[in-house]
Amino acid sequence: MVASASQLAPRSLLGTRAPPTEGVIDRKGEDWGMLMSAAQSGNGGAYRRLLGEVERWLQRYFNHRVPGWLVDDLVQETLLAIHRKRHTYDPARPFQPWLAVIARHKWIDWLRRGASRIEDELPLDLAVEDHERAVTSAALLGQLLSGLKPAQQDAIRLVKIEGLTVAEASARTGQSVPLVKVNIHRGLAKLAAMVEEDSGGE
Amino acid sequence: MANDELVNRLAGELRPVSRWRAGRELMLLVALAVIEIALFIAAGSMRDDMHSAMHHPSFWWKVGSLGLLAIVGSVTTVASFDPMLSARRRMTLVAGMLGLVLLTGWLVDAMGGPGAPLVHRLDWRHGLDCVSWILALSIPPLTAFAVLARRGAPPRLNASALLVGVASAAWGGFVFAFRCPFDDPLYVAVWFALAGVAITIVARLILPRIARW
Repeated sequence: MVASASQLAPRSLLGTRAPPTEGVIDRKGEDWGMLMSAAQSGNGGAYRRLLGEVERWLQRYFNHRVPGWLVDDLVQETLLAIHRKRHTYDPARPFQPWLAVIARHKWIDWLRRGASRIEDELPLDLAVEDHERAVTSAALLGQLLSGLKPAQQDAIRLVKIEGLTVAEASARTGQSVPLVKVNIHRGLAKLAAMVEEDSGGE
Repeated sequence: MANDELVNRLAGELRPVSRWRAGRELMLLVALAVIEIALFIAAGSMRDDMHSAMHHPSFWWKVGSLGLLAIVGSVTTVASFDPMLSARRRMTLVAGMLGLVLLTGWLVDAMGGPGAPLVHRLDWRHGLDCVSWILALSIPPLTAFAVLARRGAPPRLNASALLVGVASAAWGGFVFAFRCPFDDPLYVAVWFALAGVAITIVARLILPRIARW
């Protein structure tokens, strides 16, 4: 069965468009499924080629969804998830929707983790991240955040995206420190639920 | 570690895998159910008045409802471990079935005419005994579902956990239905449901932690 382009593209998130390079993915879709099928049989060469392509796809996927300094972490987590769950891929089905589900799962997982760990440690090279990447991820995150209450938006934007400490965010917004933490926790939990809700259909 | 390094490492340690198949997982569950029921009967746990109980519609309502819930719940639960399938529609199906079971139970109860006082019908001493039996009998399916959830890739862990709880409780209730001497729909609706809620809470608390991927 040949999947349509809309089936192959990752589901849009709350109306936002998927990465602009989906055409490449569509053309290679069949190959990826065959490569994974070969990998399930133990073909390391096919698996290396597949993971190489998937890694680039994941870079694009997460570039649009998380702050730039987190992209590589999530790409690697997703590659590991693909490796651990490769037996759940059914070669009779298209590969990309399976891949998109796993990537989305890791994204939601990150949002939930963020809700439980209020202050992630930021990397030292945060200030020199790629500008385009920062703009695109900020645009998507901004669109996502618009579904939250203004106080939650402010808390998440300042602490999770701009990298301020909770105390600094508290001073900037006028919210108390505990309130900033509560707003981050609830806001990220709601974001995860929104993403999950958006991907609820089959 | 750079992404390229990780790709090379994963490709280097690649081993052939056996594909995940829902049908095979279900067969394992069927085997476990057969073993549990056989052990239960072999232990002499069958109710003494089974022959006369089989003449009452309420007995068949109890066994049929729980059996159907256990089967549909198990199928939908295993399906929810497939990353490509959504648990949401399956939860709707199971919730609808639960409603149907309660409705038919109410009809069976209404056909039976006026019953004993509420306190006697609920019989809390036996009710608590029922709850503890169902909890114990739900442990094997709960464990099996947890193992299967770890093998699969449930995209919505919380929803899968709820389905696991309902299916495990229905399974435990179905096995216990052959021992429980009470067929009053009100009694079943209250005590069996209480056990189901307890199991579902346990599943909701535990499963997302152990099946996280």
